Amino acid sequence: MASKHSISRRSFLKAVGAGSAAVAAAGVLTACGGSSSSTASSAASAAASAAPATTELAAEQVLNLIYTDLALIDVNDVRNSNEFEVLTAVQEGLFRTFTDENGVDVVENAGCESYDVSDDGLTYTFHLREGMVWSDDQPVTAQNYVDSWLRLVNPDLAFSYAFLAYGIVGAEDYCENGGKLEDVAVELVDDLTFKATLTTPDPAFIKKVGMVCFYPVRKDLIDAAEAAGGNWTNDYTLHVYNGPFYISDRVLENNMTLKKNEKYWNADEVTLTQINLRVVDETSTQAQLMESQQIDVLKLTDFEYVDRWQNKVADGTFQYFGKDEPSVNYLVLNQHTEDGATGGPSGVMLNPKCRKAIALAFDREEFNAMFKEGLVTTAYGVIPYGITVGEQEFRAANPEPYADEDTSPDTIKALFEEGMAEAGVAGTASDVTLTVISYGATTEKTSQLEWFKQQLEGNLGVKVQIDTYPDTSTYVTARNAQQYDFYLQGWNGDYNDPMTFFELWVTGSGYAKFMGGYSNPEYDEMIEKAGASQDDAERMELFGKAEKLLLDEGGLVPLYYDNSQIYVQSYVSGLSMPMFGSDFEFSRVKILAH
Amino acid sequence: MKMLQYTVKRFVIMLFTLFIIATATFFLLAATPGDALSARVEKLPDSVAARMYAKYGLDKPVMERYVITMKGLVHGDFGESIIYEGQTVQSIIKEKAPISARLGIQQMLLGVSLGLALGVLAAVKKGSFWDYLVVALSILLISVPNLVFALLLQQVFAGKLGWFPVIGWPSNHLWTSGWNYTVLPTLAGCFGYIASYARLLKASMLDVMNQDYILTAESKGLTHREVILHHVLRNSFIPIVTNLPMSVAMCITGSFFIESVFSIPGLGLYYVNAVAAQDVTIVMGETVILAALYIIVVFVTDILYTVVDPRIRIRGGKR
Repeated sequence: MASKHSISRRSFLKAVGAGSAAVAAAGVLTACGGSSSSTASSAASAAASAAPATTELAAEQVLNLIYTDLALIDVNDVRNSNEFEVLTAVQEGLFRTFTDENGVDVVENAGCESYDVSDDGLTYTFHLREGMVWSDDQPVTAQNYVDSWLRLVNPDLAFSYAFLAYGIVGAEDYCENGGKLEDVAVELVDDLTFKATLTTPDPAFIKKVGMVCFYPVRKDLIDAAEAAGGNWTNDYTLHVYNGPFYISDRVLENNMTLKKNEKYWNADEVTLTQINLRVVDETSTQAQLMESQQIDVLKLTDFEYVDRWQNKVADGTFQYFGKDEPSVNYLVLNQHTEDGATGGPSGVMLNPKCRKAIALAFDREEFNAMFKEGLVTTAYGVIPYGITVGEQEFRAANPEPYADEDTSPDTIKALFEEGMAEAGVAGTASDVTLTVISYGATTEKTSQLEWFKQQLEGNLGVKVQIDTYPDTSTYVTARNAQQYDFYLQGWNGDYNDPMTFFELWVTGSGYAKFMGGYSNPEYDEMIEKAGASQDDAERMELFGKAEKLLLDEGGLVPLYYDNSQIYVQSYVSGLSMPMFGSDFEFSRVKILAH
Repeated sequence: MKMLQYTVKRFVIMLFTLFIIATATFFLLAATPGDALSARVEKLPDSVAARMYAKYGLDKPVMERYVITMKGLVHGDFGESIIYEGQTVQSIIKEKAPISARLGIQQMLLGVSLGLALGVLAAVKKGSFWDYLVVALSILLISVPNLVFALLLQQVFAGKLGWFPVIGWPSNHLWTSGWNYTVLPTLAGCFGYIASYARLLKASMLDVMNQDYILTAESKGLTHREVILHHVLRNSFIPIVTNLPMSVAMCITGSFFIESVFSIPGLGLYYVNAVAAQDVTIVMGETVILAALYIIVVFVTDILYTVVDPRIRIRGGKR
């Protein structure tokens, strides 16, 4: 943990990028058991300043945080990061994700002691840890997992993350097409063993089933609550817990208290006795609490405090972590051709050269500096830093395709006009008008739109028309009616594999309306092959090629990868910040004397 | 008899008003673009989204939903929250209203008493330095939003000086514990009362002081003090008495800004969040319940008029 005082933001980001590449290339990182996988998340490593001077523990092991209240505490129905955060703390599934001192994800076996995969890659058998109990002393059984997985794909319950289980034989059919529950291939073997069979091999399956929506459930309690007219989804008193903590108190939209679960199998490793979560909406109040040490961790949303707090990082009051998020923000280019659509009002969007010229017309560094305080990572590719194929980071093996393109106005204008000729559009670039759509005219959005316009008009010479809709519904209507050439969109990956992004641009994807409707049989074939391959090296190569092709055809215009600015009091140690699932993993946090 | 007839008539009008309010609220909410689920289902496959809508009955046509909602209202069943499954309007009001009520009542008691004192001061010392001070103070207090006061008090007294907690609210012994938590929110919310009641009482007192009967009282040889206490004050309290019930009713609805700044689990914050999230059932229920409360308060106020002012009486056929 090198202490790097007063490091500039830009150089910090560079340092992070380089650090992650080195880590991934060295192929370090393997942890316990057969299941460990790791992520070369570029998080944090360079950032933590002023390593705590003491390792003596404080008398009171209580962690204070802010949060937004949970809509529900039903693991199968998990939706938002706040639910991931609390449910990861109070429940436990097959695996638990920590981060090491370099901020790299380390997946450890938790509920599962080991698992086997059949030679054809289709059948996964999970062996559960012996002696685990729920907080009501009932053992955690394989039946609890089977109940959960079958409940996840129950069509009547319409859970958001059901699609993650669609690889299991019969699951998609049951959930979407009226198939039978009996045909879903999740089977109980004995009290501590169960197995699931897939339709095709899925190298990312293990990464998916570690997520909260696959955590075990107590069907007996759900049924009992339902029979009694209780509200299992939301009433914490009806729940039992098998995680490091349990929910001991909750006031709707105000606060929640978690206490240490002494019955947790690994309770010896848990030092915290209590976690206090509070709803605090005002950012200035949040800052007030952080500065007076009444909260211990804060994910900064208001960039106003960045400068002041970087000083506090320099003097050792706070630790700072710039954590990469599995998220890419990009301009969607309209390439829809289904139902008679012709790719947006401009008439040039179906041509790959025109699209690529547009993609190269933006100065991403300027965007970052102007709108993101220089804190996000500019994107010259589709896949964010930190996403891995097997054990290796995707970005380390595949340089970003747009990083070395010639972006001089003359070159891209020539490319654009070449494309116009191919598309049969007469005239020069200045005869083309691109329409951008947006909704809700906030100052930030308006100035971003103006910036897009200025970049395209300045670098490419096209005209840009800005259509701002008053609200989301009119905007969605316009989008679905193809009344746009481009718009800004962000997307978060769901699991740690490039597939979580690449499947979005496959022809006929359920998400095509958010991706501009890119379609190329060659791309589809590569992604299909990568999806079924069990060979990480082959997958890496296929994904790399697919990304190149996608961007070479201007399938989208990546702008930046998100990251979070996290400030932590200097006396907090052992806080993990995994890239996927919960933002924080609390079970090994220690409060040092201060 | 007249009184009874009047009461019954008012009651029927009250029900009709409630019906209008419920109907208007329903259709306004229905006309708002988007709904409680639209953000949640935006990125879900269409089939899953459709099932989600069916689950909450939002796939039905507006008129059908209206009939279902109104039937529920008649039976006192407002339905479950769409955002927090299992929560009902009743359970939320039961949990949150007392908290807003304690804060509101503390603010009101402090604000109204200070306001009345300043009002008397300004009226009695009309044209003096004190009068102008009160006027200036009132203008300042009423024009600065309480959000600003809340943040300012929080920063100085909780942040810099550390005398009070930055946020929080007593979680047990709802009415009597944790006074230190309540000091700053109470102060932040009392300024409005100070300003409005000071101005109200001053204006009313000046009005009364110009009446002939005050001249009569003075000419009887009563001291200035006696005139103010026995004649002016009692008569100038009519607007105060008619304003107070509405202030009391406002207490339980809570203040969005103050509850938000100090992280107080009250009704005001919850209500606004429910509107923002388009949690239709909760918004409908709360609106109807709060509207009913106001209407009852207006009714009580009308009765109060007759108590404090004998000049106002209900006479047959003359209303």
